[in-house]
Amino acid sequence: MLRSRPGRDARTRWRRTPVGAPTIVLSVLLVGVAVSLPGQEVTLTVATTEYTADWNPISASTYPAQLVTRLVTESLFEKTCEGGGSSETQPLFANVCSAASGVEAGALRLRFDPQRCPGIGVSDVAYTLEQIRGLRRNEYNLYNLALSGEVLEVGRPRQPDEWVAKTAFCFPLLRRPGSPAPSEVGRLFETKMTTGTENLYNRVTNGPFKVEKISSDFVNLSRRTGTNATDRRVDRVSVQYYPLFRTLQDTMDGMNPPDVVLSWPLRWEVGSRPYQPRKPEDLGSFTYVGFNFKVSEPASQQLLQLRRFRELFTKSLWATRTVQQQVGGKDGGEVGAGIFLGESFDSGSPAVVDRPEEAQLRVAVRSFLQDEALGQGVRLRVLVAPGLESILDRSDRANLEEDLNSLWQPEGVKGIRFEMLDPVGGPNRFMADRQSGRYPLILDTFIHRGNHLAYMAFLQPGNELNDLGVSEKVVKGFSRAEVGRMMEAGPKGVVEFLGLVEREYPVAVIGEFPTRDLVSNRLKTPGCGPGAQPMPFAGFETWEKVAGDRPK
Amino acid sequence: MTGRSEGRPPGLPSRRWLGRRGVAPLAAAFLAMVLAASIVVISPDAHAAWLWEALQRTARSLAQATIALVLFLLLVGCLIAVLKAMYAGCGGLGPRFGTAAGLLLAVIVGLNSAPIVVYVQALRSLERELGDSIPAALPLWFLHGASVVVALLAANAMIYYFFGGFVSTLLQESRKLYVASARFKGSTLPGYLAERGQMYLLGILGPLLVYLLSFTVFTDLGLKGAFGADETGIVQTLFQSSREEGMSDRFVVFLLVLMSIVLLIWAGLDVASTALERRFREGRRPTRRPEKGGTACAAG
Repeated sequence: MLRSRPGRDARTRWRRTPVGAPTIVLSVLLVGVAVSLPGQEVTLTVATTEYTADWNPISASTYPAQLVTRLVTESLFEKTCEGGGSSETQPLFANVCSAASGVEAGALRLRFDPQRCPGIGVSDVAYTLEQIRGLRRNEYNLYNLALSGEVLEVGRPRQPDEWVAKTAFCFPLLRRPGSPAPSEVGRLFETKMTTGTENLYNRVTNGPFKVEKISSDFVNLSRRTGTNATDRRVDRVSVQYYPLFRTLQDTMDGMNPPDVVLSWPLRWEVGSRPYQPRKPEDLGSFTYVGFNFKVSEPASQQLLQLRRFRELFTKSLWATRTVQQQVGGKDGGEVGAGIFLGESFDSGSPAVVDRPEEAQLRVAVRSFLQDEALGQGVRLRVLVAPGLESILDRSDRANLEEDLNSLWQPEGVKGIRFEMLDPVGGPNRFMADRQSGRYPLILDTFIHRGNHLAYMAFLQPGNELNDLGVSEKVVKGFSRAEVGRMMEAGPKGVVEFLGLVEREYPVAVIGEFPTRDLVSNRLKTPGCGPGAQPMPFAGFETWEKVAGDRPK
Repeated sequence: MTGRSEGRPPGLPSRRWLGRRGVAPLAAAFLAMVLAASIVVISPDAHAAWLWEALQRTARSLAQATIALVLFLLLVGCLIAVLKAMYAGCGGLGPRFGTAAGLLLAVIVGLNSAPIVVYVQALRSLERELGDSIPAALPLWFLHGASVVVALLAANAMIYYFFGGFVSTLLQESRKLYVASARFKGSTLPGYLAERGQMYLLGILGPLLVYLLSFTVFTDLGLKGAFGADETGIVQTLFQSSREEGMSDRFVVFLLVLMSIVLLIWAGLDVASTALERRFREGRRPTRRPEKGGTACAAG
């Protein structure tokens, strides 16, 4: 009997046993996968319900876009804390690129910190200002910044204090692209930042993070360079858009809750997960019914130009059940959902008026209607902004309509009928409807981010932010020059402006429906002094994720 | 006389692999893709990366719809097995078959009666309740994908609609003379009806896929963030984009890419359907022998 050679036997066994080539390949693959698992990287997830079509860093189109800009770009200063005053250990402002911290009379001599912002220069600041000025409807323009040699100045208000000046200098810094510069980099403000613009975005920015992938419903960022941070530092940031509030609420209670939730309404419950609320000034807003002076219908136009009508309408709005219930008690205090503002625009302003009694208003409205003797019954349609659906729901809007009609249609007199139009499309459709001149009244929210200049610009004739068409022709005292003078006059100008609003009622301000950012307790973030709270994403380089989630 | 069609029975599909019905969607798909590429090239605001993003999102939604479709077909297979077991073996389909089919339809109606959002919400509640107790060995993407497929399958009486059509087609066909006479030709009734059933199923694959694809808008909206899922599919992207931005270049490019891919699949299914029909019509039928385990019925 022939005996096979031992070597041959061994090879045969090698082929026949399961420990063959496929097993080795599989093992190598598994080891490779294990080594390449993203266990070392820490991803921070940010959830928002605000849709962003354009992530352009200088247009500040939405709150999520502002946050992405904050992480991707540099700035001269960074606001770190607010409220409660500053302390020596936690200043209100921290230097980022600026080496000089002293600002005198709204002017800053530009000197840069080469460690934090290598290679940046005055020409980059000049390029940034060119781009900001190119986009007229831009809130960075409110301060009228100007560069004279190496000195950066605030033009509005004139000679502001250091706090206002540094706030104005917190704009995002862009890097001037070297030659040859493509046309879209030269006129960056005209470029819509969406999928396909990642390289362009990273070319003009040099912040701690860079854009990896950008789309209308998400943005993924990754750390641009390594730092001395610990292993728990945040390496990647993923900003996710949620079309429905309810879905985000479910996700917050689910297996993989987001680390940060942006602008979550105060009236919505947080759920079972531990989140720490933060309410920065950047979320400051007011909800109003605007008199659309651009309305095409002559009867409505004449009515809106009557100061007496604007006053009575504003007061009757304040007397409705919805406003009474949804935006706080009669003392204007915060009761659950919102804060009653009156003409004050700003919850920080003390000028909050008492709301009138309904019985007194009935008499006044009847008297107005009898005096005016409106021929046919007038119908005023109220266009409701899509963003208000989650704040004032369908029953709230129905109650508001019913209460207004009850006041303005007294027996025996031809009255005015109000009709609330539910939002049917997104913001673009709303803006088109608003500009069409078909709707005399607009129910919307204006986000002023705690900036007095923003709500003054909202009512300044000729300003890009003046969507309602307020002018001296339709509202007495509101000329471009006069409002401009008040904007430049600082705090005195604000008081003067609020006095003018209280006299003329150019817009019926209802109140503020506060929102806040929710930051997960799993995150370790830098604190502030007593009574103060950190600004969103302040000192982001030092953020740490204390406990990780289940891996994806 | 044209040589090609000579000798071909009337109504028999052409031998060409791509019939006349298949050319139209293929041409439309090509045109849609060319239009999308043209917009990307011509429009100063458009980017080539849109095409890739649209393809990725389409692939994601199509993968979900396809998995749901495969599961649906498996389910139909199980139901057919139940119906076959109820078949008496000789003659017509009989009362046992009718009762079983009726009961199955009633059960399916019961399971499918609620709108898709109800199932989506139920899955979200399940995620909340189970939470961390779900074994860590199960990857989140798998859990999310399974939720999507379950919600799609349960969508708005879909299974009832197609399965009901399937059963009624078989019932109608079973009354026809050539089927009723099967046992006199040494075959069985299921053997004849199998051809008709396969044709019916192949015919509905295209509409069924589009139906499932369109329903991904609900699963994307309702299951966003469930089990850590970030990305959304093409239909939800189109819905959101049209709502927020109107008829933008991006919307049109995404729509055209979706159209071209769906039309390509449609054309492929049409080709398969035509080929199968031809195979049956030419007489190369899969089986006419008595089924294994079945009873051969004697003539007379």
